[in-house]
Amino acid sequence: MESKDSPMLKLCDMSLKIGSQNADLMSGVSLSVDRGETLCIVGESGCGKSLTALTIMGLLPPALLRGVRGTMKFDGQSYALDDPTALADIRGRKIGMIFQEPMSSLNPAFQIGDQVAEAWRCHNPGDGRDEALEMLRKVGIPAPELRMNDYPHQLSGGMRQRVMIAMALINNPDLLIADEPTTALDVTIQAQILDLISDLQKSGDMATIMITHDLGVVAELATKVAVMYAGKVVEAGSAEEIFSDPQHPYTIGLMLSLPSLRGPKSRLSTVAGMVPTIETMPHGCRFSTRCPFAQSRCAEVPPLQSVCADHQVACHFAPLDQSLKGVA
Amino acid sequence: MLSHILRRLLVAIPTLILISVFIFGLQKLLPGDPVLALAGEDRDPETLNRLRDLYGLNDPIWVQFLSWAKGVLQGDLGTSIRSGIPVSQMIATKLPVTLQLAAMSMVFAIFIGIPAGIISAVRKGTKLDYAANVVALSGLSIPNFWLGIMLILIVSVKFHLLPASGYVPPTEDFWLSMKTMIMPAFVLGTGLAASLMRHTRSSMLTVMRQDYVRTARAKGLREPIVILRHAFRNALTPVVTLIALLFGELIAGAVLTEQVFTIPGFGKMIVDAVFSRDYAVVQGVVLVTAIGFIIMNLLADLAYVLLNPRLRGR
Repeated sequence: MESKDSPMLKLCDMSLKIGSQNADLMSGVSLSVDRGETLCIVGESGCGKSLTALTIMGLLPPALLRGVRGTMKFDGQSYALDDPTALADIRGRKIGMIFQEPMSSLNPAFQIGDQVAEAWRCHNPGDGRDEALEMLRKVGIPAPELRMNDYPHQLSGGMRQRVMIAMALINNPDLLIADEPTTALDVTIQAQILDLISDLQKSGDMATIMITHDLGVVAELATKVAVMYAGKVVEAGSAEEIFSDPQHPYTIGLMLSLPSLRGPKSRLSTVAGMVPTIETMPHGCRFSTRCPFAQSRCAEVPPLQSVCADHQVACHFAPLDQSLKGVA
Repeated sequence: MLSHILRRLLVAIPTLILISVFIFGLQKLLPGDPVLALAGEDRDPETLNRLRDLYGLNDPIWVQFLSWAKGVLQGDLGTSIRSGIPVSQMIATKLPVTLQLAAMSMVFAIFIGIPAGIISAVRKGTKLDYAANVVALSGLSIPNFWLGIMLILIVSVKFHLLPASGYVPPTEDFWLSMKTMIMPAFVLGTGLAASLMRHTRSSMLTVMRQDYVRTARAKGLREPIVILRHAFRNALTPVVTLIALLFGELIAGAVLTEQVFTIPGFGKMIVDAVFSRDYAVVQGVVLVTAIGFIIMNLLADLAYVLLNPRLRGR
């Protein structure tokens, strides 16, 4: 993994504050991902997954951009997160992004071939028609030379997402960010799209950040996992570590809420309660309002610390076996 | 596509009939008598009656309407009872004047209103946006005739830069024609620019929030291309509708401006005809205006199809 001195992308201590809110919407988010790796960012809606992705792309709306702090290192070069002008140069060329909504993410007024070719045109000489055709074939659009002239409304959701993937990958980027690329699709199509992304990733040796709330997707694709809760990374590590030995109560809750095909049928376990709003955000551990193990210590912010080489947790009681002994 | 146009034209026929009947009826309800207006001082009942017979005004109203409609179908819009000139001939001389004024005003409106709308949407909440809104609001609230008079006073009377009034057909002297028309066109255009600006702004604001605009940025496109190619293209539809409607309105609605600049246009002709109860002229003018509206709407529909691929191939 550490073939070079620094990974492809390293996001350092990103925080986001809106106006005069007393709590940060996001705070202390650090992530890293290297070539060939797939980092899955997991968490409930509104936990800051998509905001993280948009920040890396430099695509935050101006109102939010003002509140962003932190830096990012990409391909050996440093960028300030609150200054997206520098990111404009690598956006679309070295970092490609796929969005959640294939139905509305393509411009209804232009032919898809043109939209894919445009992604090539704005970074390379030439009109990009041939490259677009090649790319559409690669993502599995049938009869791409005919389909190129179709408008988005003539394609199904799955086909549109393939077009989005073609657009994101046409410049052979070093990093692909996929923000819930399968959420809006039928289950059968979801698997096809995930397979496609992982195939393309392997052949291109990219780094990938996959944002999802679907642990099934994580289990299938992830080499690394970051679990986010209320704007913070609460647990991060290699996929095997997180799945075999989850430490944070929130991660454990997420795992338990997965339905199982085996064993007796029972009610699905849920993580009780709701994510606190920014006004009601506790000062200490942000999960403490819903945590079944919360104690007085949890009024202090737990630091993200290593429990083993490839595994960090932000919980006062980690690693669990030790602390449980302590409680007992 | 062709069937779409034909269908729209078929729908236009009952519209035109309805408008004609309505206007015909409305005119008869108006107080006043064209014969009295025509006869002047001579109020001899026998003369009046003879005149009424001559113009068929003693017939039942539906007979009058049918004979007018029969004429229209044969291309005859009747004759002005005041001047004795055929209505179609009057329209043929006045309509080009107003069309020229309308077209030039629209050029002003489009070149001021649309860029201002785009800029104020893109720079929403900044001083530029507020400035554009203030200017637009002034444009909407300053009466055309006042602005026209002020311009005449300053530009023509004080500085002798442009002719104050009158009309020269472009076929006669193109540049003089432009010079006489540019002030009235500007006056009309600024008012329209204001509403175009407001519509462009709100339409752009909606479109700029769309996912595909974010996609365009994610590709790495420069902001001007994102705005003009990806956002503006999709924001155009409501703006095009408005342009068509405004143009339709201009055909008959430039009366005040025409009056201020003494332009012998369509609007002035309508007002004169109504005052002198010149029924045939009013009918003809209304019919032509209605047809103008219908054509503009049809053009707007065609523009939709060009702008929106989803409407193609039906």
